[in-house]
Amino acid sequence: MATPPNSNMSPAEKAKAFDMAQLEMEYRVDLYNAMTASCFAKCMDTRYKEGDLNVGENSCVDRCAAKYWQVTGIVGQMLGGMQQQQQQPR
Amino acid sequence: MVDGNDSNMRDQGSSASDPSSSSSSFQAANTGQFPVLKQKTYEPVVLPTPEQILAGQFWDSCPVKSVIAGALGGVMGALFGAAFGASDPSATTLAHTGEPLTLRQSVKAAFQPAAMRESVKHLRARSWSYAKGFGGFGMVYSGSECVIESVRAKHDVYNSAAAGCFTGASLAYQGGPKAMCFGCATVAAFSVLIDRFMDIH
Repeated sequence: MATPPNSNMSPAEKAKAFDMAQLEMEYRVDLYNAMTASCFAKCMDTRYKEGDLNVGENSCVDRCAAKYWQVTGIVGQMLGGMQQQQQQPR
Repeated sequence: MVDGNDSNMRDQGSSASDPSSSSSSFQAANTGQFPVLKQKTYEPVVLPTPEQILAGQFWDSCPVKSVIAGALGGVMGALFGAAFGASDPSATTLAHTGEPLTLRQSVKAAFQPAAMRESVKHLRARSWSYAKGFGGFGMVYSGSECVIESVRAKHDVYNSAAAGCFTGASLAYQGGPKAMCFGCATVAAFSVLIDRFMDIH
């Protein structure tokens, strides 16, 4: 998470916080782009008969985004658990 | 090289956007370059506000869609009823004798005040019954198609087939199971045909 830069930190800490915030932002953008691309590929009819999303595409995108988000959360939790397990035996 | 090219392009852009500049200077600046026919303009992408998104979701929701389709069907049915109610066969026989009339007599009889009143009443009744029929059809069909499509999350011809089947069956509910099967098959076939004809999917 981005730490507010106006708090009284040393310059090294500040730089580290900014680096982390940048990494986080890049990760979020990557996640968003991957989700958009895969849900577009899954749901969109590429013949483009009409400008708006039709009902089927709408609910398909809805479910796709929800599932993607859920799976991302599960994978994140699993990775976090694995890290903890690896750290604890030492 | 890159710098000079860039400034050249910018010059072209400014002269193309200014209609008062002479075309000869434009062409002189354009020699040796690709012909620039028209400067492309791009509209900025405007994100919808939350209110706009909510309004879109409201108008795209299944109940609203089905009510709109029902209202449109009702208007169409009223017009149809008015068109067909005017050529009602019962107006061509005299009420008290039941004998068929000649064309001249029937026209004359039809323009009597009492007959006019009667025929207007008849027309309104028929128009209303047509409006109810068409409106109900539109409402049931549109609503069921919307629900089926949002559950299946696909936009293809099977939606129309299933919605037509449901509509035909539910409108023939009072005729028993056989009539329901028949209505299902016919309305499904009809709506698939219409979809193919209009090339929606």
